[in-house]
Amino acid sequence: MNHTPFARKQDLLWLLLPVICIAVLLLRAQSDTPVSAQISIGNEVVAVYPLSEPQTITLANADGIRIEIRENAVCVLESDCPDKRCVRMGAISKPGEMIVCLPHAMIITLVGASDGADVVIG
Amino acid sequence: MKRTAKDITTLGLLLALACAISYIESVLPIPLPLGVKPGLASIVVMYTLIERNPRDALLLTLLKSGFVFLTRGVTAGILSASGGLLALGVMLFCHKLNSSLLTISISGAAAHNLAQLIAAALLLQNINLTYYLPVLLIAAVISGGVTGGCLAALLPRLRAAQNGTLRKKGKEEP
Repeated sequence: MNHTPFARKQDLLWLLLPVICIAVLLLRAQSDTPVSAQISIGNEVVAVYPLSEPQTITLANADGIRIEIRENAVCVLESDCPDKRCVRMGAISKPGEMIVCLPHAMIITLVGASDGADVVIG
Repeated sequence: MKRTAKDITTLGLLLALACAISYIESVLPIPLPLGVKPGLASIVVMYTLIERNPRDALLLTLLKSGFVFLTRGVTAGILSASGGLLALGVMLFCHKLNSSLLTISISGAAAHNLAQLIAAALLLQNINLTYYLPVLLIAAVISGGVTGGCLAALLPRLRAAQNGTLRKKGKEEP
């Protein structure tokens, strides 16, 4: 019977990976305030809403989803998708953060003051 | 390859276990992005890979994804299959290299998350999901550590149970 050990000395190297990732995250942390919410379905942007006007919207081509837009945050209030991950995610409040609904192929992201258009491939 | 009844029923039990764990994890609300989960079902897959054989592990992974598809829908099924299959491939590769359990489970977890990220990016036709890569890799190291640790703790007992040498407290097993 073979005996695979739990860990060897070299496995300490694995600790480097989270360290590198945390460094990346810290470097990325933008102090930008979000300016608008960008909603895309598939690979096209279907709507952009400025955060300066708080409102609750329903998307034209995904009318089971209600999205709340507040001054500093965006969240999904309800959705007709089976797993409701998008609703459970709660609100996003920083540029670059995303709410994703896979069944609807929908991504909501916040655009900051200094962001240009993100690259979309597809 | 001749299978005994014991082989088949044990594999069935392992499948049921993996499906049950996977289902419970999907119901628990965890506030991590993209629904990152502890991935405890991979303890079962790793056990099957290491103590049995890769073919059983493949069968387990495919059937488990089928279960996910039947119970939670197409998207969930696709994610489960992509994550599970790449993870299995990577774990098999590491196992052939005689890696430690920790390496096997962390690389499996990382591959699982990576495959799901790519699958999600393809489904959404949007590459920006790579924003989540650092978080997913950190989660992979942590969950890989946990699942590898669980397996390491369980393995002696599981082996004894398979051999028939498991002794219950205070009683000899026949």
